[in-house]
Amino acid sequence: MFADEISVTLKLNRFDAGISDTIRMTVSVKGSREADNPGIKGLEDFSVRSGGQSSRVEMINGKFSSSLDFTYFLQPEKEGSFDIGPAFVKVDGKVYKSNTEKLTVTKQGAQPGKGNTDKPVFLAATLSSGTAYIEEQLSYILRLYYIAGISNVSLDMPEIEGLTFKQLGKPVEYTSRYKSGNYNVIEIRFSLVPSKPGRFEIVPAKMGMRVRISGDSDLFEDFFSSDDFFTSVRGRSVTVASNSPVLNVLPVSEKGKPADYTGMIGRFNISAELDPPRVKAGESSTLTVLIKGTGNINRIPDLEFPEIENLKIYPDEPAIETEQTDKGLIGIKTMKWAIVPEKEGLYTIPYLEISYFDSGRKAYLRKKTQTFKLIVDPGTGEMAEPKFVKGGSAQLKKPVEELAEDIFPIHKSAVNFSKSVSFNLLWLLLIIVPFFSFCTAYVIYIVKKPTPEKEAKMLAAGAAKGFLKKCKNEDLNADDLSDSIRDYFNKRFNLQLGSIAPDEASSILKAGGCNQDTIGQMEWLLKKLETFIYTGKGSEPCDMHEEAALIIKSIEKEIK
Amino acid sequence: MKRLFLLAILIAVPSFLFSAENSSNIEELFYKANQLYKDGAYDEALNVYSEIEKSGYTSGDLWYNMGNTCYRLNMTGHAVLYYERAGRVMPRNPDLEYNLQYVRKFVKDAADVPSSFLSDILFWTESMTLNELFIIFVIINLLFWCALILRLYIKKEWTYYFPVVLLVLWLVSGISWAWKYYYDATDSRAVILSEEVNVLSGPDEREKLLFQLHAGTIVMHDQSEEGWTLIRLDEKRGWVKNNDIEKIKKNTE
Repeated sequence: MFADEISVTLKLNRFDAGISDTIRMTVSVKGSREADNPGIKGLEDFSVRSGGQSSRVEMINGKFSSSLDFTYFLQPEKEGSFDIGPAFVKVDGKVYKSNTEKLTVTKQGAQPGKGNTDKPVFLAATLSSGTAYIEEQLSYILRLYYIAGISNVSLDMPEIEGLTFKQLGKPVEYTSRYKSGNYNVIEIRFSLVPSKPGRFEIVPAKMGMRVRISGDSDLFEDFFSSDDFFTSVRGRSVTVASNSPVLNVLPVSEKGKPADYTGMIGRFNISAELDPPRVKAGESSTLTVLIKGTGNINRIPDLEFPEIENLKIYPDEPAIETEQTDKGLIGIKTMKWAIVPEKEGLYTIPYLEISYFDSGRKAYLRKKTQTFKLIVDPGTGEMAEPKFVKGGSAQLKKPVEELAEDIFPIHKSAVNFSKSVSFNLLWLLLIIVPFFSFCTAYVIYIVKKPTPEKEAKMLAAGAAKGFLKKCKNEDLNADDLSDSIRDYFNKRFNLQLGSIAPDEASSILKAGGCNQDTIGQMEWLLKKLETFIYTGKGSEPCDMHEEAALIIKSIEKEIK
Repeated sequence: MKRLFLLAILIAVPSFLFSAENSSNIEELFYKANQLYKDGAYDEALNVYSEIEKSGYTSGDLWYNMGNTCYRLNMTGHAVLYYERAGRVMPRNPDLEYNLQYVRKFVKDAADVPSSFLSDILFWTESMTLNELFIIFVIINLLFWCALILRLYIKKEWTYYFPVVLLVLWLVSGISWAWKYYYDATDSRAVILSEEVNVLSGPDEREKLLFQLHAGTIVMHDQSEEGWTLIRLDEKRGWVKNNDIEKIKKNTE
């Protein structure tokens, strides 16, 4: 979906220039990608060169927005103050008009102040005025002049108690002639608002950057600097400081201060509109008051609408919109009142006024709206809801008024008609069945779990089986065989021996009811193994696993 | 075995059919009453609704509709009584909540039934029915004991923490259900039905008048004897005639 509102804006990249400078002018047509070449007023004293045109399409908040830019370069032919514009652009047969910009052309253009202005890179700070009133909005402009290639530019702004800086728009770049040389200029504009009186010497702003100056390097540096492996950013790090302009801040004069003065300082305009100017009794008309200007817009008061007999007045929430422009902060405060006449007749809507201090004229001024006549015809007798025309930013909201109360209607169908059911056996079963299931499972678990005696018997039964399994290994050495016999005895007779001696084995087997022959064979086997182990042959194959297996089998047969 | 099975079917089917037939009749009566209500015949509608109630078949919607009908008949006390009854069965019904709040505006006495400490702690039981709490408890109970059985045979970390978590839920749901059961079983709230009721110091017309109550006020029913009921409201106690008051919980419940 394309935004269908078409508007034309004229912009200059600078507002003061030297006679030999070039000014870039852009005429932007929003809402269309096609338009006839614009006709621009106020260019009689300029040599104009076209810089071409470009169009773009953007998507903002889900809506496509298209625009077309015409670029021109202006070369002044004489000094003076010029109003550039308006531009007239024909789109689809309809002519749209732009704003007008003011341009001052001097012999030298914007000149840097005192300081190191003979260097290839220098920073100049200028103030729009050396004297200001508290809360008056000034311009603080920083211009970086350079003739060498620069990169990685950073800015360190001064911080001074009682002075507030706010950047206006994006930095602009242009070329300017200074001291018979052409400089590239980066211009950054700030709004400066003082909040207390006194003399302020604005400490220098500092700009850091990498500068590449031809003839400033030696062969070695050139050789390696061409290779990114040796240096990632070419050139030298340079920091330049601006000059220190002085600002005298004065308090606003008490002489002639109006009683309703709210501290507004700057330049303001007030306008009003009554829509519709003719209504029927009980219908709503809207008075819209706009206060627009540059200065401390937050000081614009909420105006009060006087009470008028037979008119009901409903104020809307005031809305403030601010816009940062190259010239400073511009603000618009919109106030609306819905006016609902109760009776027919001719009503006079009185003027509303503001008072402010005009810093240019150095005097208090009053500005007021015009008065309006509201014609009210006989109505239907019913009072309408107050409503604001032209979709005010904040609609008047009224709490929902209850006109009557009543119960909710009957239910047409009944869910689950049932006879009352009291707690019964089924309920109890649902609760206790899982519990008894657990009890049963627990009993089974306990019953199946072996007792220590059973566990010992099972171990004993497995002892011979394990031993015989090990004996199948023909490479069994004396150490392993001795350990296997010890393990067999431990498991078979529920012992915890670290090693087993022939005597110990005899007495255990005797107590177990084995034959003397078997006991003797075991004694012989263990002694043999001891001989192997103590003569250093414990880790060699002993070739006695078959005898050992036979003895254990005999023990198993004979043991009671 | 087959014979026994057939016998069981023969016994079960007629009782089911009888029950279904009755239920169908009740629904017909319900729709009839609704139609009467719609036609503005509130007296007759209330009679039909009452007939259903007397038959022993109840439903939250029935009591809700009876509350509406009583409100239309300017019977504030009865409207509050039936809405409160419906609230026991369908405590989260928004229509019911609104209508009860609305009808309470017409109750003249500023008297609230005090809540107990346990009611405040187990606040969620107020918006749940006994059946709902029971179903939750039965499910958690089943899961809890199953988790314990699992723990007997699988000794893993999760089989340790799972029953612990379920034990907490088991206790919370069990206590909630037990509290709700106790609360419902001992619910002695009663509603004043008559427009204005004299509360006397004894069960006799000649006794001293202690204070007066008005239709829709909820009091606590202490005891009944010889056509009189001893009621309690905050610190006040006194006797009212039986026909001036009705308990929210029906005796058949």
